[in-house]
Parts: sequence; structure tokens; C-alpha cells
Amino acid sequence: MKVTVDWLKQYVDFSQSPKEVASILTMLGLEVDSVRQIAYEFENIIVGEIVAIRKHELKGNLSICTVNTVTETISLVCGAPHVAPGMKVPVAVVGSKLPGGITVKSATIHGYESPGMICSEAELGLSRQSEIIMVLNESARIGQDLKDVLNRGEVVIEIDLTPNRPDCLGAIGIAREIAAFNRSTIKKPKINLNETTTLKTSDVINVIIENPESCPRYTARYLEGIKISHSPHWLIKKLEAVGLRSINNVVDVTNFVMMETGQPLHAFDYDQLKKKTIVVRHAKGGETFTTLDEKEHSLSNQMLMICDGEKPVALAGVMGGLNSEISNSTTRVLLESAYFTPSNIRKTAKTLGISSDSSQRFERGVDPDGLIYALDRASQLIQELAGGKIAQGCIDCNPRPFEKRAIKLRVDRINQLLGAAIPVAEVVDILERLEFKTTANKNIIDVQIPSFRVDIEREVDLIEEVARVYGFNRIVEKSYSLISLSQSAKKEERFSQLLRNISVGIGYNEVLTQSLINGKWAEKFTDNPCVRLKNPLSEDLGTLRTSLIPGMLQIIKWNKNRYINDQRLFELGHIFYWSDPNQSAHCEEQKIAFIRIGNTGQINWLSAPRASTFYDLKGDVLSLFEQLKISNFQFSNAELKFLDNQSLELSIKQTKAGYIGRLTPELLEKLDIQEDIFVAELDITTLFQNYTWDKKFHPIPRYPATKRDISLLIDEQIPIQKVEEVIKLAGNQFLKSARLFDYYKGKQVSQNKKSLTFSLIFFSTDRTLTEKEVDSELESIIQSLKSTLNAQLRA
Amino acid sequence: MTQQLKEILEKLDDLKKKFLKDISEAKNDTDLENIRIQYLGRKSEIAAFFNLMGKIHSDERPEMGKHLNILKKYVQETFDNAAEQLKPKATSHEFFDISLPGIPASVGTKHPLNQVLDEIKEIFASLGFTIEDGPELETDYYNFEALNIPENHPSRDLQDTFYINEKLLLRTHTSPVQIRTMERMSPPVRMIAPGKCYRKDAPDATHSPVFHQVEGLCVDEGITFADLKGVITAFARKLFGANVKIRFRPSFFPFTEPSAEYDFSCVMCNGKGCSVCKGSGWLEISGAGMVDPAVFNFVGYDSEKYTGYAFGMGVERIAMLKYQIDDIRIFYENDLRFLNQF
Repeated sequence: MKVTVDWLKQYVDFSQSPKEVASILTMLGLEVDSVRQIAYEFENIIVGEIVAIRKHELKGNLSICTVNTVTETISLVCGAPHVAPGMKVPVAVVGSKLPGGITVKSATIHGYESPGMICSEAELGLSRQSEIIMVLNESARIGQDLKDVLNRGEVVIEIDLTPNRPDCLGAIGIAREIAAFNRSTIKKPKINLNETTTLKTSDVINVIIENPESCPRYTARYLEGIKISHSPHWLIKKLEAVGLRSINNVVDVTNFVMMETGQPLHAFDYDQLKKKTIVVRHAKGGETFTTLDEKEHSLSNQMLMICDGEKPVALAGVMGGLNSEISNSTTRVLLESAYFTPSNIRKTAKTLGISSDSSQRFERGVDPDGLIYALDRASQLIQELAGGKIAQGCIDCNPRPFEKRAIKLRVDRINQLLGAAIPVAEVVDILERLEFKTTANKNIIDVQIPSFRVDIEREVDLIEEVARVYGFNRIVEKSYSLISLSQSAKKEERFSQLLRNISVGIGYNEVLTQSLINGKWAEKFTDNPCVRLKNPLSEDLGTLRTSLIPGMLQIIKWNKNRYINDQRLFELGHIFYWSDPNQSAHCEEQKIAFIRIGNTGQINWLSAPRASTFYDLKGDVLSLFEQLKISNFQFSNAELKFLDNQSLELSIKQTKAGYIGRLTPELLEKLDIQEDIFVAELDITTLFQNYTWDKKFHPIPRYPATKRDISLLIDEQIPIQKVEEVIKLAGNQFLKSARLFDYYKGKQVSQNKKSLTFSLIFFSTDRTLTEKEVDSELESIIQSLKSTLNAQLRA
Repeated sequence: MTQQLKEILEKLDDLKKKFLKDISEAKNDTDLENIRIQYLGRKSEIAAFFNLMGKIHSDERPEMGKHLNILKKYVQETFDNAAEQLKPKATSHEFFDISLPGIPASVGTKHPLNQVLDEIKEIFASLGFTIEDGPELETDYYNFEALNIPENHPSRDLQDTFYINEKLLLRTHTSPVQIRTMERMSPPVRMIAPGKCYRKDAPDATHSPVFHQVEGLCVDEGITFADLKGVITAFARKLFGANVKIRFRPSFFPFTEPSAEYDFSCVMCNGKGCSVCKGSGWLEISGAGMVDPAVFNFVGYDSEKYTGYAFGMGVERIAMLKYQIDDIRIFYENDLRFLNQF
């Protein structure tokens, strides 16, 4: 909502500067976005008087004007038809500056040298429309700078109005707030209608409301003999200052009164109404209607239409129809001022995708008691600007009158809610300043709500009114002293923190990526149906991620494009998918994902860099598990479409917990990355369920452990996991751990074989083991390896 | 004491003197090794005395053993000390370049937004708030209706929403967690709900379609607007220091009444006015207010008995102020040169 300071001053006296007014409004809850002075875009334009005019000899439509500017008398070529001697006009002389950085030079026009020009409003950037010469007031002094003559550097205040305050969608409403703050009163423009006695409004028009639930009140007036033309300078200025375009005098008046009172009005060309009856009714399904912006809309059942007895002529409260708009030949006007039900207008506007100044006001709620005032104000102004006669009386069809609202306000409740001690008298004072009528009875105040405050429905709404005018900043903050008996962070939250800390510790950078991704990428990482947005910003942000990996790959790409090749990233976040094909149930799961690409470690002088492998990422994930003390997991070969053969699936107690693997070459090609990318994604809930919160102390072994190394030669195809299982099964008494520390395939061993060296640790919790005991267990391990895996012991 | 023992003790004394002389003259490892063999080795003189033990009278054995052990311990300690003294002092003559780079360990970083979020959580945890969460894919009911934002109401325009279908949407704020928490428990409730939110804003320097918010809620008997101001003040001071001032301005949110916007005095210029606060001296932080009775009705709380306040804040906004970042998009680019700064 925009309003100018001059405009406000028509309705309320105040001495504060525009900045101060802005601050007052902001602190009353009407947040001011900007205070802007309309700057003139011209320099050195002076007032001149036309002293003589003669026709151009060659071009009849041009005239040569002799203009006196005090300092000189010059002859200027002018194309405007309405110049006359004695007129005071703005003159640009050689060296004057016009909008757009134009410097005026002397020009030869059809043989005549013109050392300057007489300017129109458009040429001065004062108006977008008026091409005719600007005629200045009599009082302008010849030779005066035009800026001093206009002396109206309009200051525009733009307010970011909250949807609960439609009363401030008119300048009078904003003035009322200033008045309330300054303890003054507003001056509403007086209505002084000059109605004709020969014609009654009710004789020329009849109003029928078929759907009073959508239109509880409809008022109208009729004018005839009016002359459509340009609006005067002051009106164009006002409308342009608040961002509206001047159309013609009648339409401009309806817009002006809307900006003044907040009540949208509509003017129909009476002669375009087929039957002289206005019917307000819901549209019939299948009807179409062309609004005055020349767009055709197909209407649905609930949409409210203004009809002329035959056809729709306006989309009620949203936009008028092309078929009945005011044209240059209009002489008879039907002026509408109505109350339309907010939810109905909003639905229509939303459905049709139209948001007009009118619909915005109706959907927030106009003042049901303000219709006639706005109607009369506009009728009077139209007559003043366009002449004609106003028919006697107005139509007021009011099938569902609004009840007066009264609310009981407990002053104790105010103070109880605010933590303040505002006395009854001050509460009454505040409410009265806001034009509420009050009757105080001890601590209870009966409050009559003015009709324009559609947002006040409950006691708590009044408390807010008191609080905002009293001033939030006068309420003293209470120092906080409460104890809580509950644990602050839930275990889930603490577990996520733990995962983060471990991941950082093992060398990963946390990233946060968009959870909205391209649907094509979302599909590549799931077999489930993806959850897609109905109204996405773009295709790239159109689908909810099904995995954290695609978003993270974008980050890998981003950094690689900036020559950062070694990357280890992790992210915690939610993934989404439909859990049934009918899209009636969805899943939202919490995941942690890891990605690594490039070399291990940082480049250094002591050891050579090495490319990351599958086993590096596997090691990282296992480090995480070790930190979490989760050991009951199993691996199996992964069959996932986005991973190649270097991949595994992880499960804990038969529940799938995640995967580790290398991206397929197809995906690398899509990403245009030539290096291996290793990814892992784990299900946080599964990890959480297998995490032990109540850690218990295990005594540290008091007796020394014994270490034995064994080297084996086994068939290449046997997975290490199998070897480990055999070792652990056979070493069931004293074996503590078996760790692979050498692995060899190649020339030194026979084909199809591999050499493995394990370090085995034995100990007992109750004594030092004898060599014999250890050797005997080692022997059974070796025997078992030989018999089950056909292993050979190496020297 | 027999003469025999007496003589032995004298010999021990001589041995000790001789040892002290030798050890004081030892110059290098070879000398030390010779001394070790002579006095502490298996064939040393002290060892010879131990072998003599069997030959003296059993009554005097303990006496002799005592003296021998004392001597042996003395010799061992003195020897060790001398050996320590003779140890070469590092390799003072060998060049060692301490300026060669150390071999770096790989340590990661937490995302700056999560670091700020951690700090916010910590502050509210210290004020007795619990941390709650809820789904990002929400229903229209929790995101709007139960928060007093009915369908076909202009207040829906305040938040441009991503819809999945008629009833499902991406939550536009973490306020639905208020409702879910109040449905689950009765007052007193004191919680914050941090998390991702979504609004249909085209990305620019100050907007991101995905962003993070922390919602706060406190409901009990006798909770007032003054309490809300207290908790916001405490938060502001804990986060930005004791000099931060707060300001409340009236505003409108469908789920609070009265509603307010709260501002912090500019942390860059201390309220004097600068480019960050656009000369106003104040930074808009977010919205707050007293829980609207309509919201209590939705969750079945008695709005006459209980009152409460709610507040929100944008994590990105706070992180941008804290780290002096002027473009929100940098958080989601995840450039490692950015991440490694935190």
C-alpha cells in the first residue's frame, strides 16, 4: 500500500517529518518499507509566458510562439493546438536538462530555428500519458524555476500491510492511525451532493441479489450527461504517485476514491447494460467471460458475477467486463459500491489467477458501512470533473445487514497476557483514540467495534489493539527463571550430533544441499515412485530427493570445477518417496551419506598421494561403526542400479541399513567426471535402533595377550569375510581378534591364489595363557582353514 | 658381630669407594659398560659377595643381606644417574629442519549453518527448552489449518507454498511442530523446533526455496508477553553479546495475538546505522507473539487457563549476521573454500 504525505495531510494534521511518520506507523504495526521522495528528472526549466502566436508558414499544425522568460524573449516552434497568448508554460532553453539525460539544443524545425521548447508533462517526466502542453497556474512567476513552482516533491510512503488490516488499504485508514497516535482527529472529506430532482436512480436501475451469502450488500448510483476526458493534473499526479495509471476522469475517480477510502468502486457504461437491472448471482458452470484486460475466462459455479439481466458485465469484486467498460463515448454511468464476501472473492481471484487492487481489498474485507460514503464521494467528484447530473437517491440493496459487534474486555486479562499493569483509564483512552466506543464498568469494558475494523472479533484482538498503541517496548521484559525437568535434546537429536561429530573427526566436510532436485536424478537413485511438486519453481527443483547422493554430486561437481579435486563430503537429511504406487502413503527417512573422490590425505613430502579406493570409504564407514560400537552388521553384494560391482549392502539384524559403493560409469559420464566416485548412504533410524545408550564398563584385561601371525595361501575367489569367519569359529576359546595386515596377489604366488597374513591376538580374562594353550588353539584354526578353505600355510 | 662379617662390611665399604671413584671418572659408553660389568654384572664383585652368603653363619646372613642389598641398590641408582648424564644431548651437531611441514591429519568441518544451529539449540537448552522435530512433508492441517490459517484466507499469501497434492505440502515453517508437540503433551510445554522449511521463492541473495528455521513455544499458566521479551532478550545477549538491544513492533501472524516482529540492534554498528541495517540501527530478525486462543482450541488446551508465547527465527539470517555473509546462496553452494573457513 502506497500513500503520499500530502495525501495523508488532507485527512489529518501532523507536524512530524515523513521519516518520523514512517517510524510512528511502523511502531503501530503498519510496517513502512520505504519513504521515497519523487525526484524531478529535469533541470533548469523555467516559467515563460506566451506573448504572441503565429502559424508556421509551411506546416499549419505548428505554431511559432513568442515567449517571455524575463531574461529574454524567444521564438519557439510548438506543435500543440491549444496554446494561447497569456498562458504560463514550462520552457526548456538551450542547456536545460530533460529526463533520460537529454540536454536541450537549438533545433531547426521546418526552416525555423527554435532555441528551446515548450514542454508537456510527459516530456518533463511528470506524467506518462499527457502529451499536451503543461499549462501552469496563474500564480507562477515568469522566469521562476519550475521546481519551485511545482513545489510538491511528493513523498511516497510504502507500507507492507499485514492481511488483517484492510481498513488501512485506504489513505483515510492510515490517517486514522496517525490521528490515534497524535491524539488528534481525522477530517473525512465532506460530501456535498448536487442531485438532480428530475431523475430518480430507482427509475433507471433495479438491483437483484440472488446470492446474498456472497454479496450481502450492493449500492449504486446513476449519472448522465457526463463527458469523458483526461483527468486534471492533480489527480493524475496522485494516482501515479501510488502506482496507478491514469485512464480517464471517471475511472480515475473510482480509483482515487478506492485509494482514499479503501472501498473499490466500479463504473459501468449504462448504455451497454442490456436490461436496466443488475443481477448479482453465481456463475453457471461453463459460462465464459472477457474481463476488461481482454482475457477470456471460463467460469465455475461459485464465482460471483454482476449481470445486466442478460449477460455478465463484471467479475464481481475482481475485474470489470470488456463489454461494459467506460469508453470515450460514454455519457451515462452506473456506479457500483458493494460488499462481496471475502472468501468468495479470494477463491475466484485465486482460481483465475487475477489479483487486482479491487480483489485484494474485498478478500481482506471492506467496511460494510462505508459503501455509501465512497459511492457519494465518487459521484460528487465525477460530477466535478466530468459534469453531468447525478440521479436522485441511491440504490441500497442490503439483504443481510451486518450486526454491530460488541466485545467485553477484561482489563485484568490484558495485564495477565501482557505482563503489564495498564490502568483502565489508559485502556479506554487507547480504544477511544482508535474510534472504538467504550463503556467501562470497573475492570470490564464494553467495547463497540467500528464497522471498518473487520479484524476485531475477540477479546484477544482488542488486547492486541491496546498493546500496540500502548507500545510493546513499554512492556518490561521479565528475566527468565524456570527450571525444566526434562532432558533438552531427545536421543534422536543427540544421535545426529554424534554422527556429525564422528564424521567431522574422520575427515569429512559437512554439506547442506537442496532437498529439491531434478526428477531425472531422483529416479536414478530409487526404485520407488518419486514425490513431485505440483507447483515447482523449475524442473531442476521439482522433485523431492530420494537420496542425498544426487545433491551432493552437484557439490562435488561445483568444487571440481573450481579445481578442488580431493573431496570428502557428508550430509544428514531427509529423503522422500511414495511407499505405495497410488501415492496415498509416503515415507520420509533420515539418512547420512558420504562421498569421496580424489586422493587420500593431503599432499605431503613424506608419502606419495594415492587415489581413494572402495576400501577407503569402507574403512571410513567402519570407523563410524566402531565409534558407535555397532558391530552386528553384515555385508552382501549390492544390486543397486547406480552402483557398479565395487559395492556392498549393509544390514543389521536382517534390516537393510545402507550401502557403500562406486558410481556406475554411466553416471560418471552424465556428470562429466572421469574419476571414481565412492558413495555411501546409511539409514539413521536403523543405526539409532542399534546404538547402545547405556554404556557399561568392561574390565580391562589384567593378563597379557599373546600375538601370533599366520600366512595363508588360498583360492583367489574366497572372500576375506569367509576366511575371518572360519578363523573366528575355530578360535572360539582365546582368540580375541584376527586382523588382516598383508594381502598379496601376483607373481610371488601361484595363479588363482592369494596370500593373506593375519595377526591373531589371544588372551584370557583370568590368567596368562601358556604357549601350549595358544599353540593348540592356533593349530585348530590352521586345521580348520585347511579343511574348510583348502588353505595352505606359508612359511 | 663376628670378625668375618666385620671384614666383609669393610670390604663392601671399599668397594663402594672404588665404585664412586670409577663412576666419577667414566667418560663414555665404553667406560660405563666396563663399570656395569665390574659392579653390576653376573660376575661382578657384588655378585661374588652374594655368593659368599652361604658361607657365613646363618645368624648373620640377614645382616649381611641387608647391607648387600643397600649397596646394590645404591650402585644401580648411581650408575643409572651417571649413564643418564652421559647420554648424548640429542644430536646437537646434526641438522634437523623443524620447518619441514608437518603431515596433516584430515579433519572435516561442520556446515556453518549447523554450527549456528548448534549454538541456538545450546542457548535454548540452557533456558530449559526441549528440542523437538517433525516431518518436512507436512499436511495442510498441521502447516495451516491448526495454526489458524484457514483455506481461502489472505494470510495464506504470506507464505508461498510448494504443494504435492491437495493435502500434502512442504512445510513453510517449523510451526507445525508446535501443534504436534501440544497434541502429544499437556502444559507446561517449552520447546524449540529447528529444521528445514520450504517456500516458493526464486533463489536470490536473500531468498532460498529451502531454508532453516527455529520455532519456539512456551505454554503454561501465567506466561506473558513480558516473558516472551525476556526470553528473546536472553537469546539475543547470549548469541551476540550483552550490548544487544531488542525491539518489538506490532505485526500480524494468524497463530499469535498479539503478534510482533522483533529486531536486534545492529550487531555491525551497535545501532548507529550502517549499510547492513540500512541506516536504521535495527536488524529485523523474525516474528513472535502470544499463542492465539484459536490454536489452543485446535489442540484442546484451555485458553482461559493457559497462555503461551511462540517465536520464530531464520537460521540463515542469523548465520549471515554472525559471519557477515551477504548472499544466502553461498550456504548451499558448499564450496569447500567456504566450508573450511568455519
